[in-house]
Amino acid sequence: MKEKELRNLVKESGVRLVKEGLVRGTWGNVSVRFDEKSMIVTPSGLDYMSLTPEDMVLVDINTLEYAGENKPTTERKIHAAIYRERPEVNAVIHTHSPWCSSMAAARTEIPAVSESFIKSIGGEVRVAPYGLPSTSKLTNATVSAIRDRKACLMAGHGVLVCGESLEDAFQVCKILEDAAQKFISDKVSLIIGKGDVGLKEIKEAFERASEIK
Amino acid sequence: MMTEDKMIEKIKGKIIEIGKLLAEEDLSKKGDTVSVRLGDGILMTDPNIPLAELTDKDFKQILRGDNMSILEALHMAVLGYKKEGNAVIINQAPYCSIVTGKMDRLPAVLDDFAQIVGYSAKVSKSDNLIDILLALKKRNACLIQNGSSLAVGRTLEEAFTGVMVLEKGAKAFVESTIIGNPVKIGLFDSLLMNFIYKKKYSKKNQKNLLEQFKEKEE
Repeated sequence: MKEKELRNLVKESGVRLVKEGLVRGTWGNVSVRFDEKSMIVTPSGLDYMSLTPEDMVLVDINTLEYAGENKPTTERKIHAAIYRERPEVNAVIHTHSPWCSSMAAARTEIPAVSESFIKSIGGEVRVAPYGLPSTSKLTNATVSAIRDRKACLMAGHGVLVCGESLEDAFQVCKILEDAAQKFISDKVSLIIGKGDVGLKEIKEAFERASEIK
Repeated sequence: MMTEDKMIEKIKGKIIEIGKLLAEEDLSKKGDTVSVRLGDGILMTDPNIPLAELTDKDFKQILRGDNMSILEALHMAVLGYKKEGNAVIINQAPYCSIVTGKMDRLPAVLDDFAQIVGYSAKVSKSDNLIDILLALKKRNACLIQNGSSLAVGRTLEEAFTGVMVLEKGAKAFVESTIIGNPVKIGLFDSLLMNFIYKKKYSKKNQKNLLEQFKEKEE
């Protein structure tokens, strides 16, 4: 695919993530592999809905050097490291999606709940130990946690997903968010002994769980 | 050059936009208010109008010394206390409301919360103005005993980010407690991230909103 088409694809993916409720405001980032040496990533601190394909940044995956006025996402180190280590990966998405963020805050793995989950993601979703944003510690921990998988949680931060294409990575994001929601809803049901889970039930489960602590 | 009246209209437009965004994110109910610093006073939204339905007629300009409602006095006091702040949002967000009934502070379990709000957000001991200001000590956001959230920003966008991050952090804290293991971001890491965040944005937004709009026009 040509550079222009890929830039457009990254922009469209950003908008799709916002519309699906997987990303809010300027949180999260998206990239695609352009060629052996470079990737196209979303810029730092700009709203997905107002981005244009031209705002995307071409970044060297070995040196992290970039062209143009926009600064690439601060998480570019992680994206680049995954492209270097995983030749089959052509797209990386980082989100702070609501349910996965709660799992990341609890630093709890998302279990492999079904055959289709294992087929899509590769197994249980591990948690990369905490590291300050933009540090080598965080990059190394994330690359290690996502090994042999298409996703990992980043402790106290969010979720990282990779795929053979942007569509593939996008679908993994959705599967994960659904799995995280189900995991938490099941916990709520278990605590309060009711099946349907809404805000009222979450409040009740939180109050009971807080008392136990 | 733009007249002051035209600039005030522009600020109103921005507040209306923020109000709609808050409603879209399910972070607003009737009674919520937004204010901005305007010279010696403030420009504030009408609490009887839901933020999503604001029009440019639903604003009140309040000057120091005017007779004020408790809510107007709170906005005025917050901007008086937080000299670097130019905008205040007081809203009712679902997960923040859950936390206020149960905790005296909301700890940071996500690093964007630590970066933007700090190591924790305090819950005011009561709805009393002094208690709310005490909860804001060394912080730009807090939770209020009545279930509301409050965020101050150097810009409207910064105050909006504040209430978004508060709610995101509250959801993560509530649900990680249910899962069984909310892990707080370390104190040192929190302080470091918060320091870098403040430093990064300190020079950018020190001017009041009127000056910021004036600059954009020029």
